[in-house]
Amino acid sequence: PLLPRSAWNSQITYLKVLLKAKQVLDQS
Amino acid sequence: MAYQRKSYAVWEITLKCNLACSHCGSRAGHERTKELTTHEALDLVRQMAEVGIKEVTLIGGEAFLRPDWLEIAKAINDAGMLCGMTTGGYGISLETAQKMKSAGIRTVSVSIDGLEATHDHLRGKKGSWKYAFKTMSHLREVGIYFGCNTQINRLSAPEFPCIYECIRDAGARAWQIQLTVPMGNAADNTEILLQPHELLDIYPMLARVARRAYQEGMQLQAGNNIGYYGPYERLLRGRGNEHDFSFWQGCGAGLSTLGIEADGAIKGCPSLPTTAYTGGNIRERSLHDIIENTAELNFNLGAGTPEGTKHLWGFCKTCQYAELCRGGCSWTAHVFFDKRGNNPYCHHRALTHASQGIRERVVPKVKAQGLPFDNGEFELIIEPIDTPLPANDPLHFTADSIQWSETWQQEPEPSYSLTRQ
Repeated sequence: PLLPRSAWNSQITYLKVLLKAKQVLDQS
Repeated sequence: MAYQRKSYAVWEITLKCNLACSHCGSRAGHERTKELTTHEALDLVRQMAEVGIKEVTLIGGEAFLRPDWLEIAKAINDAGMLCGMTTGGYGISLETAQKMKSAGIRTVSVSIDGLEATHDHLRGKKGSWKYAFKTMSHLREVGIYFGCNTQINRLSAPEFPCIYECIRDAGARAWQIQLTVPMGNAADNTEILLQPHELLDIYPMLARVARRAYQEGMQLQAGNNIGYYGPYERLLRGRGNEHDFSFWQGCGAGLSTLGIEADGAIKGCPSLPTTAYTGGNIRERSLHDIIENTAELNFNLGAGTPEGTKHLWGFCKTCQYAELCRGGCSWTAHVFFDKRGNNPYCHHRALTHASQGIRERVVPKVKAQGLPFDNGEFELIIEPIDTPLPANDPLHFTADSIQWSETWQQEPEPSYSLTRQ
């Protein structure tokens, strides 16, 4: 199966970006 | 329903329609020339299962106007995929509902775009609102799980709390909401579109209604252009079960979603403009080949690298959420500016501008051509927030436009805390 697939090449990068967004949202 | 959507195709099986919606992105009415034959459609079902699609929603036009629609639905079900349907609901009799159940259609979403007069006006057919509710009663009688979907624009937004009460009382279990954007017929009726700064009054209303919907057992589902990262983000994206990470995480076109047009054109999302986002036609290439090897189906790959954000421009390029958000809904951004990457329909953006004493408006600049899934182009105006608004704009939306029935008077309005609600 081709789908679903991730936009992210790196799971670690995804988690870092996700965590950063969470922190910004928490502080906004 | 605990079901979690994994990979999903929305399939316009015909463009023929018995309504004439003034916001219809595909300008549905007459069928397309050379819509797929039954044989071609059934082969496409096989290919969808092979590429990993787990759920297919049949749409139109009006899906039930295609003579072999139940044969297609049964084939989807037999191939192990969940078959759903989105309908205007104008003409589903009890007998048809029973046939739908037998064919394996598991979920139906009925379009409700206002209270009766507004709905009938927007959908171009007197009596369509009454019949949509009759359709829901038929679905309920045969035991098909159903919900509703609603376009939010300057005509429907004032009635939003009342729409909720109507569909709740009709037994709808889910409600997908989406902002109307300028594609197809809506590109020719721009006066009904919300202005970006009007989102400041839209989102507190959505949050207030969402809270009650969750409390009363209806799952409110934020469409892909609802957001992003404002004070109600987690509430609206959490579908009643909000958590730390229930916020927008980027366009899913071509990743978890496919759009299929009735003549076999394949896109990464059903809403995307045909010309710019069609990867190929199923008559000429396999579905696997189109998904794997066309730029139009792969534009969302590369997140987390410079490739993932190179399409961003304007406010979205400078935004602190850029890397995850990637410009919000690609469809919404594209139909405003004829390219994706800068999305004016964003709550965080409107709030940021308001805090700086400015606001955004969009003004039509280039007309759409008049084709299905087409778009024009808008000019983005940034101005001081106290600039007088254009005269002769009777549909201008404010919080004062909203009709709250008596049942809402005891409800607390949502606090405007910027942290998790």
